[in-house]
Amino acid sequence: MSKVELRGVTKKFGRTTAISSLDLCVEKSEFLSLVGPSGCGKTTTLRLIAGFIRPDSGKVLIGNKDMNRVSVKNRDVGIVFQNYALFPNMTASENVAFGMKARKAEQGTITTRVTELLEMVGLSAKATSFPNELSGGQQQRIALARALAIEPRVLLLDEPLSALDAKVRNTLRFEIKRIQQESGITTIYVTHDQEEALAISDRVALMNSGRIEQIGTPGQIYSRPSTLFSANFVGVNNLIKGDYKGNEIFRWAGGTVSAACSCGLKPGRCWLSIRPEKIKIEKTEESQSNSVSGVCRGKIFLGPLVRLAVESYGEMFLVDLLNENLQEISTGKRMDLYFAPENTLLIREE
Amino acid sequence: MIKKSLFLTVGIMYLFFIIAPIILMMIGSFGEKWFGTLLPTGFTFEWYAKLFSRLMYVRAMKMSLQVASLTVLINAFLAISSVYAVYVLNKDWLTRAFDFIILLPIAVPPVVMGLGLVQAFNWPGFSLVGTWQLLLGAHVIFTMPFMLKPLMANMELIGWNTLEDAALSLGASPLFLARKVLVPNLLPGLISGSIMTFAMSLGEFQLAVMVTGSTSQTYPVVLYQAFYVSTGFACAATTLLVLMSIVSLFGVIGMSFIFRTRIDKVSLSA
Amino acid sequence: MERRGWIYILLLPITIVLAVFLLWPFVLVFLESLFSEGRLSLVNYTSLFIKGLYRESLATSLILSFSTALLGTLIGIPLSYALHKSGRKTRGFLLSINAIPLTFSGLVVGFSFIVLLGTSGFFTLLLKQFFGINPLEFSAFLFTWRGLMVAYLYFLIPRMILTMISAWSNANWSLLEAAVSLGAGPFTVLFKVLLPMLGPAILAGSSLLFAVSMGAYGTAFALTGVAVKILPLVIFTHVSDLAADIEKADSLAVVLALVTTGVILLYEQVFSRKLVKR
Repeated sequence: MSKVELRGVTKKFGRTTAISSLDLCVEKSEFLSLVGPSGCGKTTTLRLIAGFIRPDSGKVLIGNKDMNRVSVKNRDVGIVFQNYALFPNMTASENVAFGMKARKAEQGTITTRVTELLEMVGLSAKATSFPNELSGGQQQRIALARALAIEPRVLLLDEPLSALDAKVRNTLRFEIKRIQQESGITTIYVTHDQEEALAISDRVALMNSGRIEQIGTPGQIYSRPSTLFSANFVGVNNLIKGDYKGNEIFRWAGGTVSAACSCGLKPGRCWLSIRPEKIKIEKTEESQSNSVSGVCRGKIFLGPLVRLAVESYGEMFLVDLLNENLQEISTGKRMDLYFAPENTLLIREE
Repeated sequence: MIKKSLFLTVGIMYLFFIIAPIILMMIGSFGEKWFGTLLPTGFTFEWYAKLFSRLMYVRAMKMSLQVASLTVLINAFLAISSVYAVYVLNKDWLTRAFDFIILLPIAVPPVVMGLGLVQAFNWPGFSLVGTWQLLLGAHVIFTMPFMLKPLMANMELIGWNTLEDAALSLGASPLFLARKVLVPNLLPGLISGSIMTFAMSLGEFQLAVMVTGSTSQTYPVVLYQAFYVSTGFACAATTLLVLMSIVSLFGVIGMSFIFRTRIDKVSLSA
Repeated sequence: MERRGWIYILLLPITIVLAVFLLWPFVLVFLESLFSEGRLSLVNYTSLFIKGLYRESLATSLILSFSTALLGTLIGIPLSYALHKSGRKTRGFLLSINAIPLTFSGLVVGFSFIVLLGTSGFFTLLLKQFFGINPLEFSAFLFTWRGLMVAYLYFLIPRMILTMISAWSNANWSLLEAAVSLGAGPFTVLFKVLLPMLGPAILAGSSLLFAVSMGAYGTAFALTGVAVKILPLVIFTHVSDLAADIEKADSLAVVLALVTTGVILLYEQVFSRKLVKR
């Protein structure tokens, strides 16, 4: 279990810069997700930590030791790949034993450890199955066991769930989290799925075009996006264009509303961000004078919720409401929306 | 339905076109006498007995087996190393060169290659022309695609790059990687390639007749002379070669079933 | 990836083998072809177009290859479609049968056609019995270049089928359905949809057929000895005949290799890229 640190790491492929002077610190036993759109550099970051590629400049440290001259096989990192990458010629238990055999562990130790790990991932019954006899979810569990078998200092997961269907993905998510908590291993998890990142991590690093856009706990990332990109990428958000007038007053095409947390923001062009579930259709005490009137343009069913699209002064507001007594709301209905100032956030124009 | 049966009929007619000559030859090889009749008369093993008792044919068979086996060994070595390199380096120009090498035996006809070999290895006082070693060199080039192609298909099928990443991260040394992961996973392609290479070398005539001499004649070269002995004998001698080709082919197809790899990927062509 | 320079070393063995047994001999052939009686000249090449034998062999080879390629393509396309449509299991079986001729030595093909269509061949005698056709007259054609065509088709059609079968299964049939649903007539469908879709495979297949029949001589040698003067056979006789002028053979070989390599490059351009694409 070691701390992982990247200091001013830059990596170029030909003329494109994949990573530019990236600083990142993953604490001991922490579960950190790297999340971002494809091409944002998250997989490159992971491969830099694993040692498959070397930085053009900057340092990668594992356990406070510079790794630039250490090869992949001496870094003690366990890796789980998107397409499982199980050795097709070996059974499940042989796959799990591979790393220990490569490190010339004793046969007795290997057998005990393999049994232990297969039990941990709940696949003791499949020990003698070949990868092509296992389902995708089972293969990924074996791959996880194989990565953990070498007792790595760091566990790296590269989109491990994206090839699986939704149901398996959800159960495996819990399982990865459980195994990580039990073993206390430092874990870096790459995904393009922000929802998954928020669900599973201690901290989330949001990446965009080779840089870290924002880093924080899932709660911080969700409720306090610091940039327009974060606000857009994580979850569903209403972003209204306007001007900050100072004194917590935001002016847009539909008038003025009061907005909280504008500390440090200078008056000027900015965006107002408000989550759909924070908008109400009835006046509450917290909403104070913040109201917007508009016309309902659409209504979709989301299971426990109903999402409305309400048009107001050229902006479309998405509103998530609990699915109760909403029959009277239909397309074309005029309605007023209310939201509390403390649920809004102002984001600087970039 | 009518359409389907039409396709089936056409398919079966084609099948006859392919196998009729082979069947006829096999029948002929067991016939005592075949002259001026539709099918041979009488039944005999005499021709086969003759074939295996004549020193010239037996020696040629041994020579063919020797050259074919060595061709397989050399090509297996050349193919594994080069396919690995071409796949891992993933350079465009290398891939193009690889594609071209696969087509070499057609791009450079055997007669051109044979002509070149005869001139290039014939120095005053020391000549390789007429030796089996020179034929071996020729056959290594001639059969190269049959080893390279299934191996490359195999590499792609198993998605080698991530397997290598996985093995390295688990602490495998290059040797351990090659022994435990690369070669076992390339086995289906390697076996198919070896069988095809063996069969192609065994039946190769055009290079052999130019390059070999009286002491290094291979089976196809002496087979040509058998055509002038008698129909039955010629049929028997040819049947032997045909059977080896067919057995090899079905060996390759059987292999692909055993290893559950896609048949068109590991089979031959070009 | 990085630090992978050493991997190039793995290409060394195959490079050496190719250089020693293919490149160097061919360079030698090319250089020799530029000399006549110890002097640098293009006489060998000009004589190709003057001397009857050489001109004739070049023409025969080109005609033979062109017509076998054309016939093989025309027969192979419907056959491959029939195979494609014949159901999964049947197709697998027929495709393995289809591969049989590809493993045969040209010699075997030649001899099997003697047994089938020769003077006392099975088919010849069948014709005599049922239609009273003179066996000698019928079988005479087998030992001319027209007979060669039939024998060549035995190992060319399978190649065409192999090329086409992947084209059929990769074909995007919904394009066809889209065109028909949009009201396209049969000619529009053929020229605007079907041909652009299958054209590359057809072109690749026929160029492969052309190159293969251009370079082969085993079958012709078995059937006709050296009676039919095709280019590779003329080269071959120059090698076995010590009195013959080897430089002439060299220039013939250069011409032959240029033609086949050119055609094969065309084939590669249109087709084989998909082999190693990732």
